[in-house]
This record gives sequence, C-alpha cells and structure tokens, in this order.
Amino acid sequence: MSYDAHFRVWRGDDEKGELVDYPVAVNEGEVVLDIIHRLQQTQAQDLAVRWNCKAGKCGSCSVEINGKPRLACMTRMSTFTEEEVITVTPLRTFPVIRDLVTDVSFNYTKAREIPSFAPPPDVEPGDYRMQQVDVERSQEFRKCIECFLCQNTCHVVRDHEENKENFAGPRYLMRVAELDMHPLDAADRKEAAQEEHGLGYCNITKCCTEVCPEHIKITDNALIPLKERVVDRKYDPVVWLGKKIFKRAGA
Amino acid sequence: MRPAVLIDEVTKAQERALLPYSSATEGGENPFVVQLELQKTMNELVGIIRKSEEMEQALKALQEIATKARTVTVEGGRAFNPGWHLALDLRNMLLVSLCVAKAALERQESRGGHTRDDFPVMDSDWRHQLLVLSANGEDDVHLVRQEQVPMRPELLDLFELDELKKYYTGEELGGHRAGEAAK
Ligand code: SF4
Ligand code: SF4
Ligand code: FES
Repeated sequence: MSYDAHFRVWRGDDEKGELVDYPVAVNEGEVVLDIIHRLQQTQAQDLAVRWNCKAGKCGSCSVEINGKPRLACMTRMSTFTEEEVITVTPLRTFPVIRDLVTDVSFNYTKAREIPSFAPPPDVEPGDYRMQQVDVERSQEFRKCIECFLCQNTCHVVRDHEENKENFAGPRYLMRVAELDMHPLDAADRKEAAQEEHGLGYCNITKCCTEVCPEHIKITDNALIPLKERVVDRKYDPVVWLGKKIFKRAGA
Repeated sequence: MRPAVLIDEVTKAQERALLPYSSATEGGENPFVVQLELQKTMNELVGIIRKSEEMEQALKALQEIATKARTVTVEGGRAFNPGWHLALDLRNMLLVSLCVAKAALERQESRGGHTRDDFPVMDSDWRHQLLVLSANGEDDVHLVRQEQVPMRPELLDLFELDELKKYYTGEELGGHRAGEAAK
C-alpha cells in the first residue's frame, strides 16, 4: 500500500537555510531514511544526509523528526498518519555542514579529554582478573552507538554554546562513570568529573535517557551514581578531616 | 626516500572525479537512476539462483550501464553532495558487478552461496580452481584461472578421509595417511 506523504526537509549550509516542502511516495514498511533516499533519487540529488547501516547500529543517521531527536533509519513511517506533515531537520546542538549533516566534532573533542583506562601499575597485561559481577554494571554503557542524540538533547548545551567548553555531555559523563565503576581502573576520576567534565551542570532531567536508541539508562545508572560517588568523596568525614589536618600541617 | 606524489596522476584523478560536473551541460543520466538500474540487473539476473543465459544477458546490460555511468551528471555543489559521491562510487559498483557476473558465469558448478540452476551440484574439480579478476580500465575486468595452493600433507592428515572425499579429488588425496596405510 502506497501513498503520497508531505515531507518538509531543512535544506541549507552553515550560512543560511530553509524548510523545503516535498510530496513523496511512501510504501509499506518504510522508514524515514528510505523516504530521504527516495527524495535524493527523484527530486533532490544533492540532499545531504549521513547514514551507513540502516539497522540502528552505526549511529550515523541522527536527525530531528518533527522536533524529536531520532535515528532516521529506525523511525517507521507507520508511526505517522498519512496526512501528517513530516519535518526533518538537522541536529540543533551541532553546527550544520549541509542539509541534514552536522559537524559532530564537539563529541570527539570531549571523548579525547577523558583519560583512557588505567589499570594499576603493578598488574601486567594478561594478569587482569575481574569478577563478572563487577564488570556487569558498566556493561550497559558499552551498548552506546555514539549517535550523539543524548548530547544533542541535553539542555545544558542545546542552545547554550557557552557551556560546551565546560560540559562533556551525558555520553561522556557516562564514559567517566563507566571507567570509575571499572573494577580494574586505578585512576581517580571523581574530582575530574566535577571539575573538568562539568557533572555539576547536569540536573538529572533524564531527557538524554529518553532519546537514547539503545535504551541505556544514562541518568539513572551512570549520571546519578557518578554524582553519588563524587558527593561521597566530597563529604566523607574522614576525607574532610584528612584535608583539614593536611591543610593545617601545610600552613 | 619518501615516495613522491605524481602530480600528473593527481590531476588526472581530479579531472576524472569532476567529470560529472562537466557532463552536466551535455545532459547525462542521474547517478541514482543508473544505480537503481545496476541494482535491478544484478538482483534479477545474477541473483541467488543463477543461469548462464541470464548472466550473459547481465553482462550485456552491464556494458550499457557502463556507458551511462561514464556520463552521469550531478547537480549542486561539491560540499557533502551524495549525488556526486554516488557518481564516484558507481565506477566501483560497476567493477564489482562485472567481477561477480563474469566469475559466476565461468564457474560451472554450485558451491556455497553460488547456486547454478544449470549446474546444480558441487564439483570437486572446481574446488582448486580460483577465478582471479582484475580491473582493466574503468569498465572492463579480466579473468584468469589460477590453481589453488594444495594443502600441506600433514594438515590434510588432520582430517578423516571420508570427510575430505566430499570435497577433494582422488588425485589431491593420494598422500593421505589412510591411503598410505592401506598399501
Ligand atoms: S539528565 Fe543531565 S545529562 Fe541528561 S539531559 Fe538532563 S541535564 Fe543533560
Ligand atoms: S548514550 Fe544512547 S543516545 Fe547517547 S550517544 Fe550513546 S546510544 Fe546515542
Ligand atoms: S543508518 Fe546506522 S543507525 Fe541509522
């Protein structure tokens, strides 16, 4: 069963752009990305869109559909009525390159700012021993496909360019949490989480969790526990006393 | 010494890459239309179950598609232009399609994912035949048959003879430990 849908797609570059209306055929079982591809084939050869797997696993096709951050390849046309206008726009938090393609390098910069896995210096590679139960906790975070939908959604940086410098975003705070929970990671990441990666900006609204296509409980399982770990450290009476004594001794 | 860039080659590659922009004035085909045609040809004629007539037909169709692929035209600029990207990719898609079709036509047996309606069984004599294809310019491929390197006898001995007989010819199995023992 086919019908003609009304698509409205943002076309433009880093300087200017506009929403362009397209009537386009839709067949049974198709997803939004299929329709974008049909537009390329039939009416807009140079319509830029990033995609790879068409299976919700590469994280390339992130766009906003009717204002909601989503994967274009996993958004079924059957979730819309035939009359509905379907508006597809690029991710808002990142600068546009062309049409639906944005420059997501912010995320790579943030990824590089997190020191990598650091096992204790006296444990040789090959001697790593961990209990499955200790590993399980951070395993959930490894499902991330780096679609950056959470990064795009978080209100701390969406429309707040000025916060980008000091905030790693949910995906990379989750990475800090993952390493902090790693049974063999010896680095101290708690202070950096707060001071360098901007954990304090997060006020646990859970918007990031809501858009995650991998259904990772980013806020509940990574961000809140990380906040608790940081607080534990900060307000630990022993640490507090230690710091006081140390300060006095130093003074 | 560091390898030097061959400027002439770079210029040539650049000119070739930009060809779809200059053919625009001459009214060539839309790369997406050519891609669909290529997809359809390969799907229908060199699909899961293959027949020689169909593959011959496909090779003919591929010649026509090659002509079109050479003169596709693109619209828009050079920044992230999927139409242009496809125009560039089409050459590779065409070469791969030619390789698949030519090798499938040559291989007169069924093996693994290659199923021939006209040669429905696996033939041990074909197992050690490799079909090696290389590009001959942009829209032609060259096929040569090459002998598979025989398996080393001590490795062959790791398998049971009955199992090997399903795949190997008698000649190849001459030195197997089971055969030697029977002597
Ligand atoms: S929970 Fe925190 S990281 Fe997630 S969207 Fe809200 S403020 Fe941003
Ligand atoms: S955490 Fe979820 S939403 Fe964020 S980048 Fe990973 S998969 Fe995407
Ligand atoms: S194309 Fe890979 S996630 Fe959509």
